[in-house]
Amino acid sequence: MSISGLRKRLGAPGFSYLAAAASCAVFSAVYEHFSHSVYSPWMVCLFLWPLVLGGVPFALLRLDRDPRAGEAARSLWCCGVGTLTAGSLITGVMEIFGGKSEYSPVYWTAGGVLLLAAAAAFFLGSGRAEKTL
Amino acid sequence: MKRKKGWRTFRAAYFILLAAFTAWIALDTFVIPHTYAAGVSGRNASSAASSAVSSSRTSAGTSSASSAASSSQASSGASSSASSSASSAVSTGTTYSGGGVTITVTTCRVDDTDVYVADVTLDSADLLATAFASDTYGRNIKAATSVIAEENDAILAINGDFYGSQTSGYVIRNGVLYRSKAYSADREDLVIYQDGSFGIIREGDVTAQELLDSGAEQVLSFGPALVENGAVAVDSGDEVAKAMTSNPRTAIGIVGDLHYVFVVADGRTSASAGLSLKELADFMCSELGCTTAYNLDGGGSSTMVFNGSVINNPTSGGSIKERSVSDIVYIRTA
Repeated sequence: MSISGLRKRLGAPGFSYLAAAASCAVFSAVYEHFSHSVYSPWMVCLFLWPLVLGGVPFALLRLDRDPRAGEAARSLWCCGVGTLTAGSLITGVMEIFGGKSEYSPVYWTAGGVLLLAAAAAFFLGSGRAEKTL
Repeated sequence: MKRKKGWRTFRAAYFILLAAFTAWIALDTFVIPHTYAAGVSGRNASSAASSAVSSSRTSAGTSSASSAASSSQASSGASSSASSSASSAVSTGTTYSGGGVTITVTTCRVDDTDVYVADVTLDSADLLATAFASDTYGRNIKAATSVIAEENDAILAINGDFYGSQTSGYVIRNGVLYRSKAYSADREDLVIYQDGSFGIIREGDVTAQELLDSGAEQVLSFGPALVENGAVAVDSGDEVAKAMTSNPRTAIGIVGDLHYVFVVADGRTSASAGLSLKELADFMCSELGCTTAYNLDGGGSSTMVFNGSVINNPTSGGSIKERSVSDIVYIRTA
């Protein structure tokens, strides 16, 4: 199947999340290869954020087809997943370096708030979608 | 449609901000130097601006922590029989004697790894000191071990605990308290007291101020302790943070009163595999006879400088070269 065919089948958001997950997997594999066997679960599992939080809902469940998943909900969800992935990246880099990142909580908090806001937008959108039916 | 475009703009702007924030964190953590001055207190606080403080200690010479240690030293090279209080130093490629200091450096082969051991005997505990890069306490203020050693006229130096890579973990140097924030309750620190004796503490058990008040001259926060009370204190499952395999190592141990060993192991090269913590602890306990031994920052930081020359093979960025570090532990003359 061609890339455009895959994109069509998974939907643009699902395809993008899976592409991001693959990029993260490649990046963390290369980073860990040069880290002299110093491993961080945050780096090893970097790809799981876009895969689980993006690939499952959009590529598997095709929530992008759901009328409740409007642009607001999708944008907030995307920003949340990106923030958590960046937090995992910076925490992993710090752990491999041998330290602790004092900024990690900023990412977890911001990412969590964005995901909650996206969920709220989704369910508020639910009522609106039902009204239009 | 306009609303949809607005959200897409928000998303693009957010990711630009996220990337910029993450880049700033990376620069702040690894590149931008920060000089810290706050929180300085201690017996030598008046000299706090200078890390290599010439402390005006009165007690010296007796050790309370070290018990009788039967030393089966790996040292073999030229003997250093000169009087330790001699004012004129006698030095060869592997020995140094004079100014209250006697040092013999030997190289051993341990578990497919070249290990450099400096056997040090001092007349006074004042001669064991620490120094910061650029004589400044701060973050991302770094220099090669050999450069810091030269700045402080060190005869022998090894890298320290790289305190600058952390924002917590006790830092007491030359009788001055610089950082009192604990890394974690179970973090093991090496305490070098005014009389030259060693002790191992957990940061959850005692505050940095209490350590200073009890006579701590140096506190190094890395670990773990390798040998405690003459027994190996790690097992094969113990490792530094997330390190999983053999690596270059730096460690310091005490054998008897004012009798120390500085140990650096090569690693990450075809010639030397590196040591696990257990292998290093076994060596320092069984072969060197340490009663207390402590693991310092290793990996690319591991460096030993003797008489102005780097004697091990430090690895940094995939090649044999020194990595810049925050601090050193060194021996000076009277």
